Amino acid sequence: MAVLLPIAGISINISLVMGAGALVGFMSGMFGVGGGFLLTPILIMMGIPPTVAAASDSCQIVAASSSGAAAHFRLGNVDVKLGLILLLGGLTGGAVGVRIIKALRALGNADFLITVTYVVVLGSVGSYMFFESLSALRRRGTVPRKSGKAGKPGLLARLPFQMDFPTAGVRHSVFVPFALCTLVGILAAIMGVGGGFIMVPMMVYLLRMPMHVAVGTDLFQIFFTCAGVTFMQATTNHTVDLVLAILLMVGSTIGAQVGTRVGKRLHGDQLKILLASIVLLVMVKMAWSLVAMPATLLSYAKSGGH
Amino acid sequence: MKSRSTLQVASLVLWAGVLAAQPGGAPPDASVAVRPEVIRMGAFYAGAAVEVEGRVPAGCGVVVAVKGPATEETFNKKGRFGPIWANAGKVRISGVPSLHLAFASGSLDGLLGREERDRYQLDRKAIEAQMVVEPASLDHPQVRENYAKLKSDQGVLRLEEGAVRVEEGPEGGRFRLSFRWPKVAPPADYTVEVYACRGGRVAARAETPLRVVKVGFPEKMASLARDRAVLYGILCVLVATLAGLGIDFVASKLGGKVSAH
Repeated sequence: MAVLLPIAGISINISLVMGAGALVGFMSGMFGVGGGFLLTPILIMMGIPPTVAAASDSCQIVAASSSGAAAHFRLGNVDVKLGLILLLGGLTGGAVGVRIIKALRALGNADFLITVTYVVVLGSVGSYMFFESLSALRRRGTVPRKSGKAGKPGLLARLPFQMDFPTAGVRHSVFVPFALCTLVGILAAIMGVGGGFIMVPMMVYLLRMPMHVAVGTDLFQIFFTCAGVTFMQATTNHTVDLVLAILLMVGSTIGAQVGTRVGKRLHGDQLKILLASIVLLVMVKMAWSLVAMPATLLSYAKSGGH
Repeated sequence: MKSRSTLQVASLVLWAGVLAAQPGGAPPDASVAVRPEVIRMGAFYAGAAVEVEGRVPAGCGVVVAVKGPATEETFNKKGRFGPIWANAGKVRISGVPSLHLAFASGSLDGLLGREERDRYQLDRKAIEAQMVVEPASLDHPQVRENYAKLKSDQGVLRLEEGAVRVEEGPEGGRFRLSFRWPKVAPPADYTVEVYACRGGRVAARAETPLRVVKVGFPEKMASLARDRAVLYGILCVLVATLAGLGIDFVASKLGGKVSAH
């Protein structure tokens, strides 16, 4: 069955769009990542104009993240206080990152630098996460392991404005999550993604948050970020296709629910290994795209993911 | 030489006069009609069946070209830097129709010579030749080929040879073509052009418009997004949030009580 997308102005198969949404929603619920890096190119391949694809993708992520965050909230996996600080840091970093990318573009060949940043950041984060989780899984049953304050470096503990984050079970200076999130926001803006892929590992390894709480809190902050982006895209560029977004929403919110439940059944280290594998796969794909002869020299300009 | 130029100018004036006298610029010995004349894109639009028919002079082959308005698009262009492929800059491509569907009664090569195909922009090579690539420093044949391939993959640039049926009668040839209008073609004013071909040249031509318009719910949504953007933006965020929370509510009811982590 086909439906006409009013803003994109093209007709598209309903099940195809919902299927793509379900795949991304599943990842969102399971790993706390928006999945825009995956969905926007799929929509473009379906013939949807790139600007409409990116903007409508943001709109559907509002639904997926609200659904996923609500499910995680009921499971006690959302640290609202930490989420709000992360949100502020992410927005600050995003604003700084946009200026950096503008300066890079003025210097020329910024896209090459962006791809290299992708490969280095994803490669480092993915490899560390993969091997750390693998060794943790091997240790399971022999050495009890607990995330929390134990691994916090002494220097960070001496910083001012220490605050308890009871849901996450950690205590940090307000500056720590804010600064880290600003950094993620900068990287996210340079790389043109929402930052879930970097944000979740950062929360787990640097803030020492349990994986499930990191996922829930990330979804909470993604909701606000994408709601802002959707509103701005709708008012300035008129590129949000609500019908497309609704179809993606139906698929993605169902996918997010399934993802949240599947994620709940897996051990935190198993989740980390799965997420690390996906991060590494994306990194390998990007590294390959740097050296392999492209099928076509032309591509639509990328408009950012989540 | 001078008399030849005068003759060419005279034929052009005569040709222009004939075109001006005919509705849609069609010479007297070719005609075309398209059904439907307007394709209405409603909420559950899934493309449309289009029929084109008309008359051409006796013994002519027929080429039907459906063309969209001229478009202009910007792409990233990849280039090689040592062993690495990276974006080498942006290229703007213009001078090409947004959609180009060509149908012929036989082999296009057999019906029209290269010069005629280029003149009337009737095949992929003609489109590649006439497109404008900017900046000129990035204008390579491969860029033109890649653009054509991209559009061909999207289904908005295609050629079907043997799709037009021509029947000879006492009043000349009568042609008929049926095809499926591509679902991905956006609303616009398109043109259906018919070329009667003889001896590798265009002997007569005619054209008729084909409009594609949004109607009903899609049209209302598009107007809302365009004319009341703030309201539309709030609606988008609200619908998305409520949809997410609603599905979470339903899922929590269906899935039973889930213990906290």
